[in-house]
Amino acid sequence: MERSGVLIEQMDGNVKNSVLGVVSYLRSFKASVFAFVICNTPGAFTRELGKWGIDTIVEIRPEDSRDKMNPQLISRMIVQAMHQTGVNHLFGITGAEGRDLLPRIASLLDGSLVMDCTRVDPDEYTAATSNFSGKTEAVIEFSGEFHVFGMRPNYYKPVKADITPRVIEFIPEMEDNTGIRYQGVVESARSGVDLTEADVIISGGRGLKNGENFSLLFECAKELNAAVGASRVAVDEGWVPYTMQVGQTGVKVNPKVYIACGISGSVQHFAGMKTSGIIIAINEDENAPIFKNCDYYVVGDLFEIVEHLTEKLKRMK
Amino acid sequence: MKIYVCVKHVPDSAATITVTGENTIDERVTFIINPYDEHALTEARRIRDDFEGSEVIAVCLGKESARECLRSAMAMGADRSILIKSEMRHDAIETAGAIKAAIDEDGGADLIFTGREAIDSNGMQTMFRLGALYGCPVMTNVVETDISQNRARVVSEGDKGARLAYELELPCVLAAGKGLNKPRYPTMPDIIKSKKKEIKTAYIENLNIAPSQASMKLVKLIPYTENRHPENIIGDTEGTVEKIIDVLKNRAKVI
Ligand SMILES: Cc1cc2nc3c(=O)[nH]c(=O)nc-3n(C[C@H](O)[C@H](O)[C@H](O)COP(=O)(O)OP(=O)(O)OC[C@H]3O[C@@H](n4cnc5c(N)ncnc54)[C@H](O)[C@@H]3O)c2cc1C
Ligand SMILES: Nc1ncnc2c1ncn2[C@@H]1O[C@H](COP(=O)(O)O)[C@@H](O)[C@H]1O
Repeated sequence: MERSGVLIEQMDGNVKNSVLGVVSYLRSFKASVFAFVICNTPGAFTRELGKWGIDTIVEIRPEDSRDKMNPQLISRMIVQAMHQTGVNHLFGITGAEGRDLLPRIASLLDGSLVMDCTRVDPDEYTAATSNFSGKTEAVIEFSGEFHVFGMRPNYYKPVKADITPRVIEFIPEMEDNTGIRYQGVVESARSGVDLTEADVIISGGRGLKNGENFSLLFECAKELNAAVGASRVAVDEGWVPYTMQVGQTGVKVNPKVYIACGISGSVQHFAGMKTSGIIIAINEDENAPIFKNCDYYVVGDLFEIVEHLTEKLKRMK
Repeated sequence: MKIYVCVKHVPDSAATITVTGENTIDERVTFIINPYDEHALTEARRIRDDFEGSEVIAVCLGKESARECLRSAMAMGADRSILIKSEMRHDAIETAGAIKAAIDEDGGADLIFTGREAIDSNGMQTMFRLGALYGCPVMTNVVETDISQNRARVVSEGDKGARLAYELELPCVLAAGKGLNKPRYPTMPDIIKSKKKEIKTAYIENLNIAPSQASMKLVKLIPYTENRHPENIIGDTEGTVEKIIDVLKNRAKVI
């Protein structure tokens, strides 16, 4: 794996931290790292990406900027740029965007694809991911000419490495026969910290009792620069939107700290957060299953504790 | 309109998974229809009711035991089903190849539904492999559909809850997200009616499957081990909060 490509994703104008973590992971293989970015402003990423050890930035400039809104066309651009630069291994992250683009790219390349990877061994041709919603680790042997990997977001932390990247400009050849037409935004992304990118998550479950009470978590999250998550019960009850659901059928998260408030700790919830660095559980029931598989637990009333925690954090500033 | 729904037979999410060999599990657990595929079935059934003369066909690649999953799919509204029988495990590329071949043999599709992810192998890609084989458009994490004779208007959910609208030409592949609908679970009469519905059996070795140079093979399963040592934080509210802040600050270094 002499050359490896990274699919650059942005959030609110910055390169996602989890993508930079993947760059650092690739550097540990002594690979020459090619960053693929779709951008019409030459040099827009050079400064930022130069801090993290990217060797080459491939700036893909679609002639028609509307093409950027068609995921199938973006995937074609990436594939063309990979061919152009002789990159056969592409890495991205398993977030919403990666889940859309990476399988399209792998399919166009007729290459292998392993999503939600925690490790890749390019010499052994194996990648580790999880199966059965996190109950087992699965080692997958891949073969073929092209290989695509969706890494688990936030699993690797970015490490600084100053290099002046070489910049290659690439103008893709596009013909829109994808049968997909972008029609616009129906609802824009919510503000606040993204769950998959967050270092700290504070989540609420049935113990929150209603939707209004979630403001308690949002307030605390503001002090911690945290994202707010939820159990399925809180979502099914209509207290918070589905995009906040952590778990097997929700988002899979990897924060440094996960604070679970009024969540019992079902296997399905664990499937989404069990790889968190430190798990702190607050529950009034001393027999709550979550207490058996966490790092710190508090037997008590979440309302009292979270409110007090928020106040104390405010005072610390 | 011919609507195919790909349904996978997977262990219940609450089942205890016991690894038995290098890469096998004890399959004496409850199996269910992959949860996302239930959303796909529910949507397909709704669309069928909007177009006279339409048909919903459930397709599953799996072992003989997967017949159960097709029975449930038919109880949930599929008119008939196809079991592509194989005792082996197949990666997403082979799976898509087999499903395409079986659908072609059955007459071809106007619309194909899948789930956004199978909860056992967590591949997240079968729909795109299918789309590539057909050369037709694919959209994943679909949370709204509006289908007309030759196009699908869909809304797909992205990062941080963003909802984006796309128009796709038919035929196309739509992968159901959780927000698409509330699965419609069968009533007793539905279950009784489903017993009379047809399950056609196809054998993977007889299908004309497109070859691929790539493969993904599961070689090892390792049970996830819990290695946390829970520490009880005791004390009054003040002391408890102080301890939490200490963990955040000095151990996790996040504040
Ligand atoms: C196919 C399938 C997929 C699923 N996917 C998911 C998923 O992705 N994510 C998910 O979360 N669930 C999922 N579930 C649901 C899961 O099985 C549980 O039902 C759910 O996680 C429970 O949510 P909870 O912990 O909020 O509620 P409960 O289990 O009811 O727990 C509430 C807890 O709050 C505590 N509590 C109450 N009041 C207070 C208070 N004042 N202070 C402190 N503690 C308090 C109680 O002691 C209790 O332990 C799935 C289920 C299925 C079948
Ligand atoms: N063996 C199978 N039989 C039928 N459908 C399948 C099979 N495997 C995957 N699918 C479909 O593809 C979707 C995505 O699966 P995966 O790519 O494995 O995450 C599932 O939700 C199913 O709709």
